[in-house]
Amino acid sequence: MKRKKQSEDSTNGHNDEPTSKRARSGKLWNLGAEAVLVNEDETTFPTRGNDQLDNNTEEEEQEATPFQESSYDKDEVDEDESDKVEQATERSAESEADGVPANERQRERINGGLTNSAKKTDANGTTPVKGPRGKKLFSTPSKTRHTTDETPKLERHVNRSARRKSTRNLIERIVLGNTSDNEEGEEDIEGHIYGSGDDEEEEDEDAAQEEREANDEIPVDAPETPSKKRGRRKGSKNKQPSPPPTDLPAHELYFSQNRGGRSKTSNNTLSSLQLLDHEEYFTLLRTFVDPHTNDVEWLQELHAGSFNQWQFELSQNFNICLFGWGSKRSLLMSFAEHIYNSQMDHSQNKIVVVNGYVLTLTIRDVLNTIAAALTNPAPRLGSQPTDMLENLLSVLGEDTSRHITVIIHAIDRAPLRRPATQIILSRLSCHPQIQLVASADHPWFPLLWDSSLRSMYNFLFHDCTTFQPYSSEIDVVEEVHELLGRSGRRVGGKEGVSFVLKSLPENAKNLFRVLIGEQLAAMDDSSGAVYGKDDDDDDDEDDEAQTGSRRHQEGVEYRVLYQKAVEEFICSNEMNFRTLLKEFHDHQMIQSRKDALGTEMLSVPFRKEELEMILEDIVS
Amino acid sequence: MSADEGNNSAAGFDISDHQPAYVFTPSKNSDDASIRPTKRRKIAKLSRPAHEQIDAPAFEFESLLNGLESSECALLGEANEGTLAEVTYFVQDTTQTGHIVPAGFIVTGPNIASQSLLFSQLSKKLKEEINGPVVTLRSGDASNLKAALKHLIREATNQRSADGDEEGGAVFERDGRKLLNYDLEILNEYVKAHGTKKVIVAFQDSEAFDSVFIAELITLFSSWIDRIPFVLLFGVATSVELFHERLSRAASRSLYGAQFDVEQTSLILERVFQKAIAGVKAPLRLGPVLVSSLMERQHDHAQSVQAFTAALKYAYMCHFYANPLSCFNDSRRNSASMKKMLQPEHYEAIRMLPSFQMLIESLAKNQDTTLAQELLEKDDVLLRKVEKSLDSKEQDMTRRLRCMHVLYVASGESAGRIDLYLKAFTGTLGDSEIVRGVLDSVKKVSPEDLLAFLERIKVAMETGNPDLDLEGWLEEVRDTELFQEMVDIEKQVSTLVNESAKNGKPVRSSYNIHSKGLRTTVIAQKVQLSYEKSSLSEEDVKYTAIVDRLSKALEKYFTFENTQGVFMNEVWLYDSISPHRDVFTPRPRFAIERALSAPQDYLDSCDADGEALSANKPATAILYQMYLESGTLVNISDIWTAFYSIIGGAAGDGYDERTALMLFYRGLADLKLLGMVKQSKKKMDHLAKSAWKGLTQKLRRVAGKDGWTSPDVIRTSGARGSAI
Repeated sequence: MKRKKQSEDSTNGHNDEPTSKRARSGKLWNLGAEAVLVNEDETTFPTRGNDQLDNNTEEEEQEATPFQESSYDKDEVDEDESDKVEQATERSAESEADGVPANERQRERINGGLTNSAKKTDANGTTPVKGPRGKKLFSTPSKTRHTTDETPKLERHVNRSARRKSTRNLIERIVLGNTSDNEEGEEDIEGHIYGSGDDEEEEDEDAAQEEREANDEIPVDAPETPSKKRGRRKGSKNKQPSPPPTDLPAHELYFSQNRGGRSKTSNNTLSSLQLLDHEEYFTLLRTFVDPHTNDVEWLQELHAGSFNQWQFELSQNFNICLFGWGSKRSLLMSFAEHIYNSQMDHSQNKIVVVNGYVLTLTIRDVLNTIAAALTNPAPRLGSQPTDMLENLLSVLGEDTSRHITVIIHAIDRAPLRRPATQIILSRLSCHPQIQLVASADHPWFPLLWDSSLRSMYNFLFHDCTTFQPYSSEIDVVEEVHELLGRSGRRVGGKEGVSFVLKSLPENAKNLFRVLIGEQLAAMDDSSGAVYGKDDDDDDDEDDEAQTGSRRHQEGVEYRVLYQKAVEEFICSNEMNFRTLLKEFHDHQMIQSRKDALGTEMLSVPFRKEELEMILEDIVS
Repeated sequence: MSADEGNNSAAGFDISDHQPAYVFTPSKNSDDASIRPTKRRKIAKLSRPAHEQIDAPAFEFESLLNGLESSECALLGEANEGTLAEVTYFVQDTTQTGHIVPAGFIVTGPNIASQSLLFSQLSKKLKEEINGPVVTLRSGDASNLKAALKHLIREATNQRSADGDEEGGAVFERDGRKLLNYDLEILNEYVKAHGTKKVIVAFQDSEAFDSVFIAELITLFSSWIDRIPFVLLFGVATSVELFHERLSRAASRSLYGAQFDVEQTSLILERVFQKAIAGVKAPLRLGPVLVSSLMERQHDHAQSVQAFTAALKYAYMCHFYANPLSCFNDSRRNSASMKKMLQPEHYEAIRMLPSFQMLIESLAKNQDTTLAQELLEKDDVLLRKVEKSLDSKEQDMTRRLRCMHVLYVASGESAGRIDLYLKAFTGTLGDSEIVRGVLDSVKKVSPEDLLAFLERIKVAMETGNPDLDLEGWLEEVRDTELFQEMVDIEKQVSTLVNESAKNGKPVRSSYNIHSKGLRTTVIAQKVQLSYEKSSLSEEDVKYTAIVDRLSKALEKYFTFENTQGVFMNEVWLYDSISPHRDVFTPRPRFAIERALSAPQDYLDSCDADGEALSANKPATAILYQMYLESGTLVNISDIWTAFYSIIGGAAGDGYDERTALMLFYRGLADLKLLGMVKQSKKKMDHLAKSAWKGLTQKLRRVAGKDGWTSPDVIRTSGARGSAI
């Protein structure tokens, strides 16, 4: 028996390809199998298929008989037990449905486990009979249905062989009424309920622990094992339902969260929540009083204390870069004021402020503003940024007593992120008459600069954590809606679309209807594929990118739409078609995007439900 | 004010907030005016003492910095001087033959950060020496042929536009038709008009250019070379062979040229180090901890020499800005002027120094309580003691540096000077491996080599080292113990040598026995040993005694006390790495993670009861905590529910749903700004997680540990290997 177990172990161990979900679920479930092997070998065999069943049972009987007398034996109890198990399963299923907190479930389970084990110890002493067990195996399907009806998630997994195997085993155990396995089964269910990768880790740990236990104990006194197991099991079970571990070292946490496999989240959506629009957001913001105001103030005061030091550093031809959490705008502005107040001659020394977060900002604006600060009227710098820089520097060199302090808010935001822009800024900053004070928000901003840029910038970095809200840096509502995939709200939601459509001619309406119809069809195709895939495959990055791009493409090809439109007599030539589309574009009702192959894809930036409603509106 | 300002930022929509760029003018709002006076007063108060401090040592600090900078610039210039001269000579000397373009390959080594300095020096020098434009192309300037030609023509023709604008305008037209601005015809006209001898095109970072593009450019130049005298210069970071491989055959056939090697950064670095840190004249010494961290950074991140000097400069700045006692560190000080300048606080500060406390402790131990008491109570006594210790410090420093130099020479110039410096300043030089190695080799050398060794040391003492600004000090030490010893030994050894020459029997020390011949078995070795022992002649025994004497004398000479134990070392020794670490190697990710996961470190109003999720934290911090706990996919709806359950009105004192939603929006937008979340395409209303906490820190620590352990591992494994 020991030999068998080991061979089973080794096969399980080696088949474990980390990428294959199937193998993983096999492993995950393995602890179940392990326990079965430990406690009652024979129960695993029926799962291997009916043709093998007979041979195995025979083989089994020979091997297993020595301990059977002492350990498995509770024919009379079996019925009770299985009832109990059913109840327990139901309970857990119910609790899942009700969203009962985990610990309650656990308590129930512990109780169940206790009673069961008590039952079991009582039942020691009778001889097991093979026959009924085999029959029970075939009576399971009804039970399976019973369980799976209440936990829809399980049902889906049952279809896959590894899962099928595990479920069958689970049922076996339930039917056979072994208590420790019973818990095992619940853990399995619990795994589904929890759904996050961390549980798997714990289960794996458990499995490892069990393996260790099994290896240690079984050879010594196998008959004793089940009861021992039970005792230990309770202990290990207590930590089981705790939320995903948070005290793992950072890299462990990363791997445990990224291990692929099911990354389970609920299917809740925000559809019931009425989202904020700009107006409401700002109304709320205005009435909101931040309880941390005083502390935030104090932090700023603290940083302001080093203004003199910064000024000294600037005077020694260093540039300054501030980083850390919170908006550094007001800090930098008060630093600007500090510099301004300390300057004697305001005609020779100027301060230029650049708002790096303004999306329309270009490097030309920066250079032109500096030039305008230098001389009045501003000199013509040219059109190419590199020319402009050269010209600007030569203008600057004409009078070496002039100094310009350039303050750049958010030097790491999108408008200034391009390498060419950064090169120009760095060349500007290394001019002795220019002092640069910049702020950076992103945690990875140093990646913007290679070593040559870094030495050009000659930055001194200061950690300025201010905790101030990014009130003017971020368009909060817009950003969040983009995250939620609700950018269509820009038009004013679907009401806005209907409103626009009302004012458009019939042809335009029809075109929009065709477009939505096509897009919905595309969505159905791709989302079906995506969701199907989602269940089957690992959630690794590649996969996401792939499905992501597919989801992205769920627009309608420009050509296809045109063909459709012509077929439906909506327009007769491309000119016509374009004019109609232009109208939609102007109202931001459609988006056009080029995919990897360069074909133009058109889409309506709404979610499926909303699209359906719009379509209904149009049709009605 | 706070509430006002908060409201202002939210409600009062300031147009300048959303302007791309503007010239700053201080706000002159009436409500601001009420605030500013107080603020200004505060700042003024803060700044005055600071200014005084700077003013006081200003004469000294500025001169120090300038001295450093000028010497360092000169050093860099010198370092590149040879290369520059060679290149200039090459450019002047080339004559074109056929359609072959002369090209100079300047092998700069992998440090791209120092390339820009080299090329700016080069173009400056070439412009002075050669009649013709010098154009430097960077990979960023020119992405395609057209842009490169435009850039080239503009740079080449504008360079002289200062002295003749009208010509510059005329160049663009020819025969009444306008030329496109990337037509080399313009350059041709320009060359003809100015009688230019050479047009130099330098590719600063040739590896970064597309090879096809460079090949095209080269073939184009070769077709124009009969009209425009091009000379190309390539900055090559790898090797000329690799560069050659990247070129097409046609292009490489139309090139001929020479290779120039630039002095490597590490060499320049060592020279800067000798001048600025280890130099005799450096008034401020950098401590071993700081120096080793600077060196480590230099090696790990392959930074330029400029970055190194910037770090040095920052060290000086820190010392003179933050340490009020730095005013003692002036070589021209005298007690009268000192007394005038010093304030009671200065004496107070001196008494707070750890080195002062150590001094008092040692005095107390030696039962010299009167002096200790006087030092503690009387400023005059203290000042005298300080001056005395500062004077003795100069001598101590000089001795250290001389000793380092001697050791450097004695070790056959194999020891790294930087390493020597570090050891000399921590006081571990005496039993370092370098000294041990030198002493061991002294014991084993033959008398002739010993004489040469002594001569080397003598020469070193006589000439000093110009790199360290170390002048010969032989005259000063004529009557010191070591020198006497050396002279004596030299005499004895030379008599021994003479005798042995007469005898025809070589003299050697007993230490030299084992190294002779290779024994195959242990027994053989033993036999050999006893044989050698017995065969030691009288001369040999004498010589061994001499050698022992010398090695003892040297060992004594090489032993120092740790600088950190010297009284007043805080004045002339700067050894703090934390400002450098903060300022040059920022850890923004760590800072942000810390701020978000432990806001109580910054904000008093968050209680630090260790609870990760509590309603009194900022919204973004709460959201970040949830984000950390979630898996790779985050359901927005669920996280919103969780967020609302914490911050919301369940307890009665929370926010209502809409306000909570507003905060949720803000937190979500913040996380997006930090690049931590993006929309997931996998599921509706889900976010994809893209950042994990604490990873960088971990990696760094692991790497650091490895760095420390690996030598030990090697050593132990080596020991085990030899034991076996």
